[in-house]
Amino acid sequence: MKVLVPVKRVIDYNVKPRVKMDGSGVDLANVKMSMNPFDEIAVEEAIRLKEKGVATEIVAVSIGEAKAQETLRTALAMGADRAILIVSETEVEPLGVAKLLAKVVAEEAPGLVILGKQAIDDDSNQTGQMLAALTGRPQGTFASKVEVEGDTVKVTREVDGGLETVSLKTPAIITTDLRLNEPRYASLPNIMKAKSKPLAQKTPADYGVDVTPRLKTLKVSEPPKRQAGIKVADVDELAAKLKALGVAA
Amino acid sequence: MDFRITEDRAALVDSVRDYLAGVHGVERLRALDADGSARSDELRQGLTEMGLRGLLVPEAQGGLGLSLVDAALIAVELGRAAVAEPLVDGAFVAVPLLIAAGGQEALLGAIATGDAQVALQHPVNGWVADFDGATHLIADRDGRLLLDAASARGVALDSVDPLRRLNAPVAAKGDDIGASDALLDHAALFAAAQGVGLAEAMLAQATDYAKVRTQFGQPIGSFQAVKHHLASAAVAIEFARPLLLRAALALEQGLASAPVHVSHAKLAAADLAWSVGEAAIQVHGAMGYTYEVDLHFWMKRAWALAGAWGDRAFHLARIDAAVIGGSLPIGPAHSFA
Repeated sequence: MKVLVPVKRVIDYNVKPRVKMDGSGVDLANVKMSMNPFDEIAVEEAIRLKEKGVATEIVAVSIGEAKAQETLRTALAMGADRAILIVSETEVEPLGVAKLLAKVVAEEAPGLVILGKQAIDDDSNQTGQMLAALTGRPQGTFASKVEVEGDTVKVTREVDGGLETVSLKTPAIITTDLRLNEPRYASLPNIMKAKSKPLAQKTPADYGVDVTPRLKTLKVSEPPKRQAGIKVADVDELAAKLKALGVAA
Repeated sequence: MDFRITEDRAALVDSVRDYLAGVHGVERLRALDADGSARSDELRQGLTEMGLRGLLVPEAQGGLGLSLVDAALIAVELGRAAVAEPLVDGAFVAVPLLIAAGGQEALLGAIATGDAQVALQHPVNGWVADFDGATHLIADRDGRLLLDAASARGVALDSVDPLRRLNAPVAAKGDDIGASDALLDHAALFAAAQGVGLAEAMLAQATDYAKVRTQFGQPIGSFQAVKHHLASAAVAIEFARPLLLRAALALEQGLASAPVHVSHAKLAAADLAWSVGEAAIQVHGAMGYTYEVDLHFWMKRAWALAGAWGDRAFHLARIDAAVIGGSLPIGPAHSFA
């Protein structure tokens, strides 16, 4: 079974994002960029499926600026077999990403598409679901456990009330949650080997997909600063404070 | 000439930094310290799988065949994480010596897989690090390096750094594999690299603390007296890094001036780590000196490395001899030529 793993280049999760002075977005100049952590989990899951003999080939795909090649090289160093980079110097919205991925799915015919449930830059949490709708494939979102048995895949989902297990017929779409696995570090020998693994470059035009943005960002601002807490002497004072703040009757 | 670190090289270094940040944080240091053995099989295995032991080993022997500059940059990361495993001596320092000696393919392959570990003995040190667990010893005798199986070990010695394991030197014997100056130069280079990493880690800790510790209603980092300490430390790091890279490049290219460049780098890095450690302690206030504050792991390593592979006076004397003796001309026509 072939597994397709979309990965996104995002601001590193350790970096504190800074909003541009004009409020038009987040300042990415000289900021460390990395693979979206949920996508790392997706790559790891695909590699584990290959190690179990379930997956035969792992194809990583990324959509974004040319530098996303570094992110794909990381996926290749972790264990993906080959990569596809769809270069777009303009920002591609989740629907555009899903449309492009649907074209890649049609071309590559993977048994599973495993992708992060959301990217930590825009937190949209839309691409996986849109891709499932566009390809007409079943979806198992927020996966914390994935078990492939023949042509079905059992996905344990993290939902508000606890865990929900769904059984999907392959080909299917899975989006990963944080607790699915702990991604491995790419070793230096594998980083060196990744340089010679195939990486194909495409454009949205090659797939005939219009990725013109449909949304306009009006303003980006820092979250309001948290106010310092106060100490109360006893429960009565706490109750009075809560009532005064209007959070308790 | 473009002096910037290439993207490929930076990617390798970043990978090692991320890996060590994940597996060798302060919790690991405290666990190794509490354990008493100061060593971990799991960590040893992880470093081998990461490819760090085979960094300089030729590809034909299962290594990565990288350069001394790559290894120096990665040794900076080992210093940043205060890694105490016998990695630098056994893999980074020993491997170039064994390659130069020739005929050591089997041993080089075994180093890359973690099956062999080489300890190093030189009269400039009064000790041998990580003799326990070593399979081979490279030791100086009368200016020549002798390679032998590690058998009789000297008595255990104490170190200011609780994560270093030292033994007294033993009588050198074995096969002659070359001049011992190469051992000193390579070891001093990698001690310098670790010093730069230690300094960067201590500066980061002090800066983080200065942002959260408040006094008079504002972070102490906003006060000039604190800010200037940290800025001076950052500037000193920027001045030490090029010296390290120049020394690594000179040694790799086999330049006659390499030993003096190595001494310059060792001197600068040891002074740097020591002074940044002092500044970091000052920023932390009195508690900077306590066991509870993590800083001491890095500071003690800086103290230990300052005297390893030639102390301040030793390397200053080598530079003096080169400048006064005329082998390293200085001045407008030479220094930046």
